[in-house]
Amino acid sequence: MIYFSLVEGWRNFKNLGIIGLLTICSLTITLVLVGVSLHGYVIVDSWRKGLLGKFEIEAFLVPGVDSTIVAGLEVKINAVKIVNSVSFVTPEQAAKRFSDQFDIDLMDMMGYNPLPSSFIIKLNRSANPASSWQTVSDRVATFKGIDEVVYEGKVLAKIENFYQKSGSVAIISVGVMVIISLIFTILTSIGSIKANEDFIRLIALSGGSRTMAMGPFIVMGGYYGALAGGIAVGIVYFVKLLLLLGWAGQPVVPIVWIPILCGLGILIGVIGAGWSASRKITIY
Amino acid sequence: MVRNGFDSPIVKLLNVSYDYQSRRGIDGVTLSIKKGEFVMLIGRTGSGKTTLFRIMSLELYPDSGEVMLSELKSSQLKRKKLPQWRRQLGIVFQGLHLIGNRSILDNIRLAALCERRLRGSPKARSLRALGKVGMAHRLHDKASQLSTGEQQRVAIARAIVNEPFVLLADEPVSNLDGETSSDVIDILRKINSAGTAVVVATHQPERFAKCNPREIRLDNGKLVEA
Repeated sequence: MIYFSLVEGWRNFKNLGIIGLLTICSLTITLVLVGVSLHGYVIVDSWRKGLLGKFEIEAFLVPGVDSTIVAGLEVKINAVKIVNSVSFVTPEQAAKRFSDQFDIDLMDMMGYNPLPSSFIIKLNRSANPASSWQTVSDRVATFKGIDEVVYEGKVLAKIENFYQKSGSVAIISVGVMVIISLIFTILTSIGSIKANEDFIRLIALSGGSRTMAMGPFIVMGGYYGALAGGIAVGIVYFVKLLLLLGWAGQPVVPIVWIPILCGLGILIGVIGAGWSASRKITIY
Repeated sequence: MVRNGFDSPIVKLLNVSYDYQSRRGIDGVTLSIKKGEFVMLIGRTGSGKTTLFRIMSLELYPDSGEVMLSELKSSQLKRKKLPQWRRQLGIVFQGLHLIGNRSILDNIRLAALCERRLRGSPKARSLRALGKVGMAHRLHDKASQLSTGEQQRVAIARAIVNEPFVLLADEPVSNLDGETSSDVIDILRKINSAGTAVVVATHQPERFAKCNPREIRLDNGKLVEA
């Protein structure tokens, strides 16, 4: 049965007309879009994680807080989920950091060090800043001995906003293209079914099963998807090569995407053709 | 599959009716066909002969009544059993419906692939069927390259390749000249004498006289003489 479907599906596939070519084109565009989106996702995600790694939450302590409380605070903050590291900063270290950052010596300028002790908190890179940074910040602020908690919320929100908008645009584009290519696949399969009515009638009235009559058309859809997937992989990797020429440090895209793209193409082809066959082969 | 004895009906229609949207197709037909019988379904164009064949093959389901084939009943037949029903019938369509761009062997082998329980490979059975209709020498020719008479023979070979209990032939000689139709009728006689029930739908009953058929006459979807 499988061999029969593969052979007969190939025969149908070879007879592709203009609409068949359009199907392959639309499937290819869809898969290229998916490939480029995935590639873009890896790049943007890498940028995002790199940026987020530079952000930190700063928790200032109440002036003159007891050292035992400080030690307890460090343990409590470390115990908060998604906190990656906590480091204690003395007023002296804070003054040095200020001096390094702004080239101003507070002792010289003010005659005393106004900066309090603080904890520098870093979160796990996988943490979603939109919610978790606020949660951690709010939680730490409730601990006894903490005076104020600050972090660059607005900048973080902007990065997240951009990241999420890009993701939404990519998902919507891919979704629209998947629907378009499904429609083309369905139209091609219906055309092929109509052109092979004698074949279907022969199989059905000779006692062949419904699966036997539908199989070649479903396999044909798979062939369309596989061809489109192959072309799309080539295009995506060509784009990747172009990117590599311009930017040697770009993140590595896993090779597993080749079968993913081909698999997605085959899946769209098989679903489209299968739907058409189940609707249009009515002799059963 | 259960092979019936010669006297027991292999196909039975009980008060079968079928309506097309705009007209009556079959009206309360009751008949039975025994194993090894040669039956001639006579009637004018539009009298319901083809509709009756389509009902027998369950390409159309009767609106009322019951069709029985061997031990199977149309009213109780599950969808997955439909191929089993159809494997017991061989059908020669009026329009032949050969696949023109494929070889004769391919046309028959496609039908042979539908029945895997018979002895011999689909190809061997196809060659045997082609031999029975005298077309073994043209097996690699495309169906579209054949004359109408040759196409008719190939259509018969395709219908008998799965060794059906009943062969339904819809107007098998209507487009053929005298000599060619005589050849086709001889082939049908041979198939019948080997034990297969043959049901021929025709509006030219005189051509089948030498087959000594049982005549069933249809008029406007009704059985008027059996």
